[in-house]
Amino acid sequence: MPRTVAALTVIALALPSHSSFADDTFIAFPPNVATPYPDCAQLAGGGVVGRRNCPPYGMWGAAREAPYITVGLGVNFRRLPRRFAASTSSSTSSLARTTGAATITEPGTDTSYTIVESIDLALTSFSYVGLEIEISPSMPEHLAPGARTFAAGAQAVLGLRGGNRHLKLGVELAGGGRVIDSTGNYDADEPVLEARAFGDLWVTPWFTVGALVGASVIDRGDWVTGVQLGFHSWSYGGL
Amino acid sequence: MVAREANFFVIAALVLAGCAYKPDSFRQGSASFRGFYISVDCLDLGIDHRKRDNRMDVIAYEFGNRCDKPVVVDLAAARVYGRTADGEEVELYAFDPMSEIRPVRIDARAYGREAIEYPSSHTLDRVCIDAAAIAHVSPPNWICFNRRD
Repeated sequence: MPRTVAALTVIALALPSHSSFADDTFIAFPPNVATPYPDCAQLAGGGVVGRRNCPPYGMWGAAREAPYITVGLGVNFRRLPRRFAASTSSSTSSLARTTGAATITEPGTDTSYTIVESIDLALTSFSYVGLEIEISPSMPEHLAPGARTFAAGAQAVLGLRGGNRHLKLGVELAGGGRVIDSTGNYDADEPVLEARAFGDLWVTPWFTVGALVGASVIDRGDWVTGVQLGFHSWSYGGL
Repeated sequence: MVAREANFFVIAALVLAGCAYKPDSFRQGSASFRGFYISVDCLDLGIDHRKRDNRMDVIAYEFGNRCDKPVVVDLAAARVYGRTADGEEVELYAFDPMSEIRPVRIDARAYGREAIEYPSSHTLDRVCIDAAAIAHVSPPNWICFNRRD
């Protein structure tokens, strides 16, 4: 439960507080009423340019004068292969095949569902960088021997994307670290390097729904699938 | 908890869906544009005239981008003329003491509005605006308001 609260807090803080791209220049807001521009509750001069205090001219175009940013919310399903701690004795588990490696992988995976929050900044029309925070709202009560479930993680993302006003497609590489719940005695902090592909449908000019699929490039059998919502500061991603 | 999160996402989607300008609607959300309606290239414009006093006209512009690409809204380029009672034509210039008025790109399917004052040393009977100039389009498309209106 604390993880759920933390995840919702992260999401709430990252959501844009004002999604509209139009201004409200000469609406006469009543006193003490919340407005998109709290300092402009009493507009001087009837909201006429040059006679009002705020907002500045052209707020309706401010989105296009700022960099293209995407805020994403999603749910991922992560399948992590089981691992067993290395041991000098092979008697610890009937499934473990002890070798000289620190860990070995056995057939079988464990699935975790996670909530992911991301923010991307466009570098060019087709490339972007971003940050992601991912957390699992549930904590397993019992883990099978060797089982691993996702607890939390953070990644930096570098990606390419393109599309039209109906569909956006992209590929990205995410690198960072994560914390794993496990029964083994191996280190539960793991590096992440993951390749992904995704597709998003434009539901409105500033909102997408989509899906992704990816796999770790350093940990065989580590897969992710997910669904995501995207909130875009430029309509249709700046087409 | 999952149901509450799903509700949140649905509400957010509906809110965002309502923000997009619908071509030919001449509306900002639930409020209709005021004044004279005209479509110029990608812009749906509502242009209204507000009288201040005998020597001051305020033109209120409301606009929505009907296209799926950003376009320029150049209120600085709007040509505005006044006509005096004796038929003399006077070019009017925007009151812009802070030099704010400039060409600004408006996002696809977004909308906005501005009110600009055009002072004059004459008492005018009629004020006309070339709406096409706002979108950098020709030929001119004149909209006129009688000050008696």
